Formats: sequence, C-alpha cells, structure tokens
Amino acid sequence: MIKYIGRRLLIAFVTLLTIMTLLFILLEFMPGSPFNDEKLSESQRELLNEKYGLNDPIPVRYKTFMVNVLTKGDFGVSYAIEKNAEVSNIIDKRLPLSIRFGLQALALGSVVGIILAAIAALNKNTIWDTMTTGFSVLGISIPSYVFALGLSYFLGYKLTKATGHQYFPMTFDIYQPWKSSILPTIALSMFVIATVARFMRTELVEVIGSDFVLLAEAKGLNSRKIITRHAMRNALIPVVTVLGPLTVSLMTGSLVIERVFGIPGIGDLLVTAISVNDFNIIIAVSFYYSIFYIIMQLFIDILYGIIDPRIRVAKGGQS
Amino acid sequence: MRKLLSLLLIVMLTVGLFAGCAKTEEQTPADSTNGTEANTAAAAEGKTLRIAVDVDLPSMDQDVATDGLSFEAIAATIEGLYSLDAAGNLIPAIATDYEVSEDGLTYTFHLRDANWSNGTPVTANDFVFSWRRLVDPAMASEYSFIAEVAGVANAAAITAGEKPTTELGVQATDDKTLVVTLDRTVPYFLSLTAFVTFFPLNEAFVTEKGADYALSPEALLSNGPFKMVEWNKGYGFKLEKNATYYDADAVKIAGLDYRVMKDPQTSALQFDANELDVVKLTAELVDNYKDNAAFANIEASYVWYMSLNNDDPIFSNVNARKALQHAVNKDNIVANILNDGSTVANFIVPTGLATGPDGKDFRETSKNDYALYDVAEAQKYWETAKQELGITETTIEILFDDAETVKKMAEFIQAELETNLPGLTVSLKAQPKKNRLELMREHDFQVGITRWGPDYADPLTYLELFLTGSSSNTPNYANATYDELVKSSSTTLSADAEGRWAAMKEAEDLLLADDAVIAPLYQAGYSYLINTKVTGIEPHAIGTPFIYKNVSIAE
Amino acid sequence: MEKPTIGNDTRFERIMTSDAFQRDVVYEGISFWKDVFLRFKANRGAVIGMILIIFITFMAFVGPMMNEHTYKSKVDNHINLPPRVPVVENLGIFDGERAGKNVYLDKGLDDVYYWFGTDNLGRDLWTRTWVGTRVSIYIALLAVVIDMFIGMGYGLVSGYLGGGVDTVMQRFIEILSGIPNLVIVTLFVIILNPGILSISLALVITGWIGMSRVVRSQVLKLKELDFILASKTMGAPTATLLIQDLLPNIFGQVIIMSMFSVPNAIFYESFLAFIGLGLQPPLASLGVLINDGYKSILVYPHIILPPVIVLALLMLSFNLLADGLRDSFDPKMKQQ
Repeated sequence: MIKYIGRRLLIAFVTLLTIMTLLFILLEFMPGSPFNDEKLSESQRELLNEKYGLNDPIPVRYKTFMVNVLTKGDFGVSYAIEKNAEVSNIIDKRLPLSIRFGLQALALGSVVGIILAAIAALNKNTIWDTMTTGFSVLGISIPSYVFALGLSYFLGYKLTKATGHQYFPMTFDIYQPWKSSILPTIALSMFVIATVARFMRTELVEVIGSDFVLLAEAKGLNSRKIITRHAMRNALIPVVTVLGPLTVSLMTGSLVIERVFGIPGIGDLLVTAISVNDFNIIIAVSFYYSIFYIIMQLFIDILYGIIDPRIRVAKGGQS
Repeated sequence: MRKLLSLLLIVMLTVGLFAGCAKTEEQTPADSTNGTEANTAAAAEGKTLRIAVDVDLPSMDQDVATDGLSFEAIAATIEGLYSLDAAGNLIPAIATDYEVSEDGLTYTFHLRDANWSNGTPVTANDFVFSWRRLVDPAMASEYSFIAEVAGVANAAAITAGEKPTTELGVQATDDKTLVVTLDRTVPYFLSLTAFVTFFPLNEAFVTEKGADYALSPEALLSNGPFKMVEWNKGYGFKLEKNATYYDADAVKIAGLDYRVMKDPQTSALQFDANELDVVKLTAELVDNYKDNAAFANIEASYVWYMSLNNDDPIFSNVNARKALQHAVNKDNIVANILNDGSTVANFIVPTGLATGPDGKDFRETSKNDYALYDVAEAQKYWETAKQELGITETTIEILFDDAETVKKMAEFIQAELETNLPGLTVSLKAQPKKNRLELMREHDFQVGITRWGPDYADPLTYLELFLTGSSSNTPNYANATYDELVKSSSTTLSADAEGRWAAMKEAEDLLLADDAVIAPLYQAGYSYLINTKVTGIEPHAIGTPFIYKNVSIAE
Repeated sequence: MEKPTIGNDTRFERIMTSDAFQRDVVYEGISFWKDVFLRFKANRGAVIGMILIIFITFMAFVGPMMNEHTYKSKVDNHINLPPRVPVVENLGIFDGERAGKNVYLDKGLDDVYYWFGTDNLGRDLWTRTWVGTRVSIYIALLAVVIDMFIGMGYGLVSGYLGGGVDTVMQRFIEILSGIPNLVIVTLFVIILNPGILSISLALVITGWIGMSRVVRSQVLKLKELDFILASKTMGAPTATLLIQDLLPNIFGQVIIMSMFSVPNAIFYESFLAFIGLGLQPPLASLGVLINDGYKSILVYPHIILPPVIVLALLMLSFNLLADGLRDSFDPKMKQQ
C-alpha cells in the first residue's frame, strides 16, 4: 500500500510538472500583454515589459518561473487585479474561503442527496420517487445564479423585511462568517444534491435488485440494515467517481455564487484574471486547481479499493 | 480488517471536513472582534458611508494606479498641492498659495503645516520625491506621461532614460517652498496639481517599505481626510477619519466602508435593505428606481465612439465612414439601452471638460452636430461609397469587448446599420478587453467600439489621440494639417489662449466633418442610488471620480 | 417446468388434470432491440419525455416562423413589453399588464401582440426563445454524442485493458482536466473567434472526461465478475467482450451520465456567455437568453421566464427519457 501510494505520488508530481509546462505554453499563445491600456505608448509598454521580465526569451522565463514556483512557491506579482501584490499572498487570502464553501456545500449536498436517493430507491415508482426525481431535475435545470439570487431575495431580503429580524444575511459578511455562509452554501449545494441523488438512486435500485441483497433479505435482515450495510456501499462507487471532480470545482470556487453573494473566492479571481491578462494569477489558480485535482484522483483510486474489495487497483493495477 | 480500515477512512474524512471548517472558524472570530472594535470606535464619532464598488481596489500606490476607484481611494487619504471643490474649481490643499513667473514657466508653491499620519511633517521634499518617482524609468509608472503633459521640465527625457531623475524641473528651496519649472507654458498646469500622480509621498516611509509600499494599510501613510484601516482584498476596504489631518474638523463622518459587490442586483437589494448608502445602477435596474428619491444621475466625461479603421479597404473611403457616422439612432442608445443619464455625442471633446479663455465651455462655442442621426444623409453617403468602391454589397465586422451594455449596444448598432444601409451585412466580434485593445492597436479590425476618458481638463486630452503614429490612434489617421493644428496648440500657441482654442476647434472639425475618422456615440453618465440622508458627495468628471471629504450623514 | 406425467408408470396417479398447467409457455424469440423497444413503450414517463422532446424540437424549428419577427429584428419603441396573447388576454393573464397598467395600451399599441413579450432591445421573445432552443438542442446533442463516442470508448478501453495502458490513459486525463477549462476555452475564443465552432470544440476537448471516468469505474467493477470470465474462457474476442458483455451492463450509468452532460453542456455554454465568451450575438441560446434575462430579473421578470421554463421542461424530459432508456437497456431488468 505504502509503496503504491509512493509511486502514485511520484507520478502525480510528474503530472503536475507537465500541467505547469502546458499552462506556460498555452499562456504564451494568449494574445495581448497585461500592459496594453489605451493610454500606454510603445516606449512605456517596453518599460513595463522590461520591469516585469516579460521581454526575456521564453526558455529563460520558463526556467525562472519553474524554479520560483517549485523552490519558493513564488508565482510573481499581480499585474492588474491587485497591482504588484504577491500572487501567492492573494491566493492565500482567498483560497481558504473557497475551500470552506466548497466543503460545506459538499457535506450538505452529499448528506441530503444520499437521503433523497435512499427514499427514492426504497419507494421505487411511488410518489416519493417522482418527487425526488423532480427535485433533482429542478436542481440541475435552474441556473445557479437565478437560484442564488432567489435565496438572497426571499430569505435574505423579503424575510428580513417581513419579520424585522435578519435570519439570513443577504450577502457574505466577514464579521459573521457562519451565519452569512448559510445561503451561499445552500445555493452551492443544489447541484451536488441533484447529482448525488440521481446517481445514488440509479445505483441503489440496481443493487437492491441484485442477488446478494435478496440473500440478505432471505437472511431476515431488516431493510435499514440492508440499505446501510450492503446496498449503500455498493452504490457509492459511481457517486465517488462523480463527486471527485465536482469537489475540485467546488473548492476552487464558483464564479456565480461568489458574484451574487460578494464572496472573495478564487472562482471570480480566475475569470477576472483571464479577462485582464493577469498571467501570474491565471497560472497560480490553475496550479492549485491541478494539485487539488491530482490529490482527489489519488484519493478516489484508494477509496475504490476500500469501498469495493473486488477492485484491486491498490495492488498496483496489474489486473 | 478492510471493514475497519474503511470505517477509519470515513471517520477521518468527516473529521477532516469539519476540521477544515473549524480551522477557518478559528481565524474569523479574530477578524470579527477587530471589526466590531472598529465599528464601535466609528460609531462613537459619527456615521460611516457605505459604498458598493464593482471591482477590487487595484492599487493604493499613486504611481501604479490607473483607474477611477484607486484614484478615489488615494485622493481620500492623500492631499496634493490643490484640490477641487464641488463645482470643480481649484481650492488650496497642502499649498496655501503660489506665484507664477512672468513667462509662465516657473511656479512657486508655499506649503502649509500639515502632518503625515505617522507624525512627520509634509514637506516640499515629499513632492520632489514623488514627482521624481513618477518619471523614474525603473518605476515604469503607466501615468508617467502626465508629467510630460504638465510640461514639467525634462520629464520626457527622464522617462526615456536619457537624463537622471534629479534633472526633473521640481525643487524644494526649503521645507515649505516648492519650485516647479516648466519647459513650455501649460494653461492647465495648475489643474493637474489636483491629480493623484502629483500628490506627495514621504520619502523615508516609502523607501523603508520598499516593494511592500501601499500593499496593506500598515504600509500606507495619509495626510488627507481619511486613512486606510482595513483592506480585505476582494471583499472591501475601510477608510477611517484621519485625526492628524490639518482640516480634520471639516470631516463630519467617521469613515468610508467600501464593499466589493459584483452583482448589481444584489447591491441594489442591499441598498433597499439599508445595508449600503451608495450603489451604482445598471441600465436594467434604472427603471425600478427612476422615481426613487435616492436616484441620481452623475455626468462623466467618457466619450464612446466607433473607431473606423482608415486602413481598411472599405473604411479607407471617406464616404463609407460618413455613412456610418449618420446611420445610428443614438437617441435610442441613450434612452433605451443605457438609460443612465448618458447623452448623445455628436462630437469628440465632451461637454464640461474644459473652459475656454472666454469663460465658456469648449462645446458651448463649437459645432455640436458632427454626426447627427440622419438616415437619408447616411444612405446618400453610402450609395456614393458603394459606387466609388465598386461594390453593391459587403460585410463588415464590429469589434467590441464583452462588457454588458457594450454587447447590447453592438447588437443595436448592428441592427441599425443593416436596416439603414442597403447591401450592408454586419457581423459582431466580442473579445476580452485586453485582446480587443491589442487588435485595435495593431489596426487589425474594421469597426471598433471603444471609449476614451480625459486625463486633464483640456480638449487636447482627446485631440492628441489622433496624431499620426500615436499609440492610441486606433483608426490610423494620418493628416499633416491635423497634426500641425494639434501640436501648435501645445507648442507655438501655448501662450496664446484664444489662438490655441481656435486651432483645436479647427482640428476637431477636420477630424469629424472633413475626414470623418470616427463615429462618436455618446458621452457617458452614471446612475446611482445615494441614501437621501447623505449629502456632500462631490462627483468629478476628471481625475478623482468622487471626493468624500465634505460628506455628512443626517440622523 | 414441471411435467406432471411420468411415462406410463401406473404406480403414480395423476393428480393435476387442469390443462392450464400443462400448457408450456413459449416466449417468442425477440431480438435485444425489439425487447428494449417493448420495455421502453411500457414506461409511461419515458414516453412522455420522448413526446415532450419531440414537441420542443418541433417548436424550435416551427416556432420562429409563427410570427413576422426574426430573432434579430427589433422595434425601438416596443422595448420590455410583457407577454400579451390574443383571446387569452380576456382571462386576465398574458394581457400585457405590468403593475396594474396595460403597457401596450399606454404606448398606444392596441393591436400589437407579443406572446412572450419583448426584451430590452424590443425583440420578440417568442422567436428568440425558440431560436435559442434550437441552439441549445444542438449543443445538447453534441454533448451526448461526444459523451457516447469519445467518453464511453475511452473509459471502456482504459478500464478493461488496465495495467500500463490504463495508467497512461488516466495520466492523460489528469493532465487534460488539471488545466482549468476556462483557460483553454478563452484561447479558443480568442484564436477562433466566438461562435458555435469554438463552443463545440471546447466541449469536445473536455466534455467527455466525466463519462470516461464513470465508465472506467464501472468496467473495473464488472470485469472481475464471473460472467466476463466465462465469456473470456469461451474465447470471446476483446471487442465482443466489450460490446456484448460489458456495454449492456453499464448502459444505465452511461445514459444517466450523458443526460447529466446535457444540462452541463447547456449551462457551460451559458456560463461562457456570462463571461462574454459565448455565441456571436445577436444569435442566442437558452443559456444566453437566461443570462440576459437575469440582468433585469428584478425589473422585468417576464424576460427570463420563457427560456427558464423551456430549459426546465427540456431537462425534465431528457431525464424521464433517460430513466426509461436505462430501464429498457438494462438486462437485469428483464425479470421485472
């Protein structure tokens, strides 16, 4: 097991290096420099490019970039969003918030999703089943910003106005970080609930119809035990597969939720950085995205082996 | 064993989840206690003005900043030689008065006794240091050109690296006397002393902070009405009344609380819920608030126009360009699409920018009908153009960036052109702003929707754009007569107020009527919701967008 | 199964005399596809979903021709009009009223009817909604096709072959999805110009990854099962194994996944529109329309409603259809 994880980590590191190199090359193709405001003359552009080392030949810049990132975690400075501020500083401030919201939404979403799926699967083809299906369809067909603004409007604004007491702050507020994170978390978890409920139900239905559950029933186990002990575990595999990447995108921030609730996360940061050619921020956010992604992948592969003993990836994948 | 392991893993996962949450929780209460302390302190002295902004604050360093919000925040914390009153007139700030030599080339400013927020006095040397920093090639300030515009001696040569910064025409004869030497007379020089880049900086402090200067509230000094106390990047920042300000008694509020809100609908709701005092409205929201007592239109000096690439096979034809000037119903753009107090522009030098020697606004005494909406006229030019070009139908592409009202405007212009100019098909090309600028700079476009904001109160800030070879000359206009007219108004005619005014009017006429280089669209205005209890917000069309020093909030 | 008579042996007395028990039920030999069809037909939800999709697709092509407006024609003094439908208006709904005032009559537009109202530029929302539906359906189909062919194929091969091939293929996916989509799409838009082509390419590049992952995990789970081993022992070639034995067993998940990729693709497109990288205006998709409508949702909610409702219906029917298909394809469902 340890040898396997060690080998995977090594591969992960190589993957990360490849991604960084690719990103570096991709950004070279990005037309336009961060310094091309209408006001700048050619000579000023030249000065700015010189100052930030953008005039050096590509191999030199690649080397400096890789060395700085790998040895010091230094991504350079921001060119436009927070001019001259260390990119790693900017990320350090925003990333924890995005991760927190992502995990909260993931936790809420998975729990609710699994419960809904269990209800639906146990009452297959009844009104409960239809209702949960309807709910999860709704969850994926209403655009998240409409839902988010709706929450903010009805629970944040209208409710406060009607009752005179603020139960849910309309926007994120750093002075009451927990209370004000309720609405964004709900908004963010809608998609998770829908996804989990949908996949889990399909799997559960399949598992419940299979022989070993029949056997368990024949053994006289009660249905709750069957669901939790046997069915759930088998149904988890595809859910975990889908949740992995979803978690990554949740933790790296949701542009829409961040904009509606005024959360300084990194989803909005990336979009803004792309629109203003703030290259260092683009690379840094992508870097964290990749790291999360790779770790999550590793984690899932190990989890497979634990959830389902039949998969023996953990032995090195020779099968 | 495996079961145990899986159980362990699940437990670890859940614990991990909550530990992750708990960790962030530990940090935040510390913040929140700080916050409540600040709040209670503020409450003791008066009210805080809560402002919503739609971008992060890019910089607090006056030699790095290039945008309105940064200028506004810097101007709230630092004062320069002069400042502006509500009507836009110069009022003394750190300078109490000045003398100007007979040839108009030497200005001597006398400074008052004022202190930085760390207790050190504001001296003439602070200005010398700051101005030299502005033109220092190592600093590579994006606004360094403004020193050249102001005519400060040797500014251009220093920025180009040909002379040392010490050669700059600014000297401190003693702690309270600043002497500025110009290399030509500049009629608008004084008005530039209220511009952020000419504000003083404390040399000892800035040098000590080095690369960290202006990146956090601790790395900032203030000599103005407010000082920065909190900067939660991406979330907002707080300015608090500066007790060491020389005119502190005039400041009636406890501070300014800026909040970054990127969704205009949420911030409008927050205004309704009395969580914000100043909110900018988008066109869509105006209809809801038009009759609200808090609704206010604020005029700006940005002029939006269609840049017509003179190198393009079609738009090298002057009649094709003229056709475009007249084919778009701009009243509809202003009334339906923008809906925010913007006004139709049939000119390039905006209203309210510059006052002439006769004491009247430039526009008041110039022609105002350069690009009137007139379908018959447009079609006449278009037919001529088609004949001259030997075409019966053609497709053109309009380049714009993805800002929201611009997209709608582009769609509107597309429909107008296709309806009004027979045989014309229009396609739209949306690009991220930086790329749009790059394409226009390379003259790789046909029609581009773009804008220009003034840097100083003189028509030149617009007319200089279209000088042959200028980097902002996106249509690639080249006309020696035009160049001569514009250049003379800042060189040979610079002392002759009336002569240069006439030259600039002639230049504008040449640009828009004879050569039809661009098709102006509108002069921007903005709609705001401002809490009715708030008075004394002073908007300005040039330089600092808002000055908050005289704000008061009724109970 | 039981045969009550056992030869001529007289030691046994025949006790079951009813013919009913003697008749051997012989099932008609039906092909896999016919079987699928029969089971699909019996699923009411799936049929409703199918009909809805056909209806919406039909409207997407016929709807824009039902009045004189085109998706880009604007009437300047007809901006932001609420919906007004002849005849129905007498019932008090769709009567062109906003806040108690009839906007049409106020403007003197007595004989003007916009069934879904108009947008900020004075364009007919009915036409725009259906034209937008057309684009969204195209994107949905594209997403499903990509999922089915690239995603499923990749997952099958990677999962089944395993070992070194799997490792290499998974690393490739990791690298591809380790780069945020947005960076790649932005490049497309800048280099290829915005439009259907860049959106399609953006979908092709990364859209299939989720599917390939689900398929791979299913294959990993299934390939150790006895029936695959049996098939293998009997000498079935790899291709047959994959297509005949593995595929039908994972179809349930595949269908569900591809139905999820439909809304994903549609929203991905509208997300691109949100950040200004979407279709070339004035062409619109449901996503673009929802985005545009969102900006004035507090002022003119009628603009966002039609595209949201059409989208929700489309999603619902795709899901119903997906459920039905899954049940029909799944061999294990036969017994029920």
